[in-house]
Amino acid sequence: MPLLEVRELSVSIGGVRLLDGVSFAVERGDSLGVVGESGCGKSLTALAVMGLLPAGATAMGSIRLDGQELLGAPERRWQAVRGRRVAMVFQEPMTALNPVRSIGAQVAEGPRLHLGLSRPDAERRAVQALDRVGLPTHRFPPTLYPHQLSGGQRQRVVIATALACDPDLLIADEPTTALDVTIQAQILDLLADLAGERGPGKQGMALMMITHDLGVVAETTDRMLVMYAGRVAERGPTAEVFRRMAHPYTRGLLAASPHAAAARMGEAPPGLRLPTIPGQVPDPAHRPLGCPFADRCAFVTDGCRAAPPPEIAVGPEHTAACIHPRAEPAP
Amino acid sequence: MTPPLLGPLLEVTGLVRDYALPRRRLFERPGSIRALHGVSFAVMAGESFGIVGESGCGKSTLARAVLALERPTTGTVRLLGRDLTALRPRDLKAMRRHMSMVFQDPYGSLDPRHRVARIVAEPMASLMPEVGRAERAERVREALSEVGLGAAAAERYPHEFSGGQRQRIAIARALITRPELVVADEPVSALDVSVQAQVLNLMLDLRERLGLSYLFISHDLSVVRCVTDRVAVMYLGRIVETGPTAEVFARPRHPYTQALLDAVPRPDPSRRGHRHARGEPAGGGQGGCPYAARCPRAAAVCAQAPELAEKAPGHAAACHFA
Repeated sequence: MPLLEVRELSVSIGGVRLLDGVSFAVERGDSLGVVGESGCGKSLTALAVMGLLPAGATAMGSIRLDGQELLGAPERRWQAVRGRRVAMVFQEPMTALNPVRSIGAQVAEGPRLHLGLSRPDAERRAVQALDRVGLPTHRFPPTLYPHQLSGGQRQRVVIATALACDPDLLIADEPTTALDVTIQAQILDLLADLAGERGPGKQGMALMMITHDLGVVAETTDRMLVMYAGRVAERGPTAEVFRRMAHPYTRGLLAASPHAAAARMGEAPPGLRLPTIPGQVPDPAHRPLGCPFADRCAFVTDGCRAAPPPEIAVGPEHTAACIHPRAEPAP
Repeated sequence: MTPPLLGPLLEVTGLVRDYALPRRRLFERPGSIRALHGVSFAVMAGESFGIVGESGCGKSTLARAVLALERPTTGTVRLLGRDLTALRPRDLKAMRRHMSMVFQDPYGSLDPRHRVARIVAEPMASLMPEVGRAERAERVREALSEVGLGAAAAERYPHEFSGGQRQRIAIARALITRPELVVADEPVSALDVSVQAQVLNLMLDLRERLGLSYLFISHDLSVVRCVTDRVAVMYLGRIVETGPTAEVFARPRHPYTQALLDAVPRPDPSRRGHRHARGEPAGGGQGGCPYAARCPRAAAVCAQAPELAEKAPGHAAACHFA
């Protein structure tokens, strides 16, 4: 049984369907990347799994953790999951931390509430968690406050808070977008190491990495989903998806990224134009009947506009929601 | 009219900027922190010059000093041969039409209560009052069409546009006085990947068409690689490496540049688990190389601050081992 199984998840807000039949599973110790641009539904997926959908959102489908249905579960059951079994790291370390409480107290809060530890035991656990994320006590005593730390150190505290109860699944939503490049590299290494760690009697924490950056997905995950307009466009083992890029959107997204352009340029002088994806993401209130990418796609045919494309197998465990998947190797 | 330009369009020499720290006691002499430690570079007409570095390296302070939004402690900023730091306020205002700025956040930089026409015309209204109303409207139309927006956009409000379109409006505003120099501070970092490419292409087109010079400030090395001719890498208020962008990226001389390039996550799964960035910018010892505390190659000689010295034609680095 997978650790997390999401089936046909649809979320609507104000009558507008933002997530449209998203299914995926995360195994223990697995790392899953979810990549897409703003409005594709990747953050909403994370919030749904955390039971943190905004008021007024209606969700349909199924979210199971170890086989136990969570969608529609009473708040009490969510509270036993949230922070304890599934923890989340947000983008902005400064807003995720309380500025007037010491970092030790903030990291200890989870163990006290969820595990019922005494104050000294919870504090010991907080020190361990801080140590695990690279903030050793002798340099970073738990009595420090967030304002005494740099952005990267604060994000480490946020990660320690998430780790303190030994969750089975860690969801990281753009965890490095607010950080500098060299600090980003350190945090990504840390998250990848934590996901791979296997303690005694433990099968390792699973990681769900939500990002707009194909580079982050490539470097930290085993499997990935590409999302577009509230749906899964392509999924598979990360190496396979990058090798093949069967969905035209996946190809367009990679080609348009300055990373890929910079790599293609070699030592050429600037002036080379970047490949772009024409048009814009469809407005969620007026998504087309057929493939949501049809209007921007170079390979569109009448069949694309007739019905939403099914997910077609293009390789082992690798599918693309496209009736004309690309066969030639990715550029 | 401006006389024909012989030297560089923009020449920054020995720029130092100190910020006063708050006093802890009433009669104490306030301490200060040095954001720029003698930065020098030049941008030729029609050239695109990149400044890269991480937060706290001084790149935004540098942008503000170049735009004469704040006065440097010492050093000069020459635009079209005139020293902006020495001009009287009236003369400085007259120089402002030659330079403009594109900011990072297309949501914060456009007044939500003004129509696009007024937003785009604003620099003209204050810097070129001699231009009449009819010509102003004509130039707004022209600027909007330069950035790929129709004339109908002029009568709409910013909230009716997407992030990428808003950044086009911000660029139209930057072009309205027909400046020679556009300072762009992280102009695409708030945009989605596919929109980033569109805005970067627009900036490349405009440069070719209008002969603009860019001072392009970014933390994103790949973006800088795509749009600049030459680049300066800054660390803790100093330029540690500078040269032709293609050359600096292909053969970085300074260990910090190497670390930055190595840290960029690349869309290549085979690179997984092979990065080695270390440390965070620290104050650094007095007098020595500011990067020594993080540098894998640091040695005794690094207690002496390295000079920014030419290592290959046009390519300089401030490192004893470069």
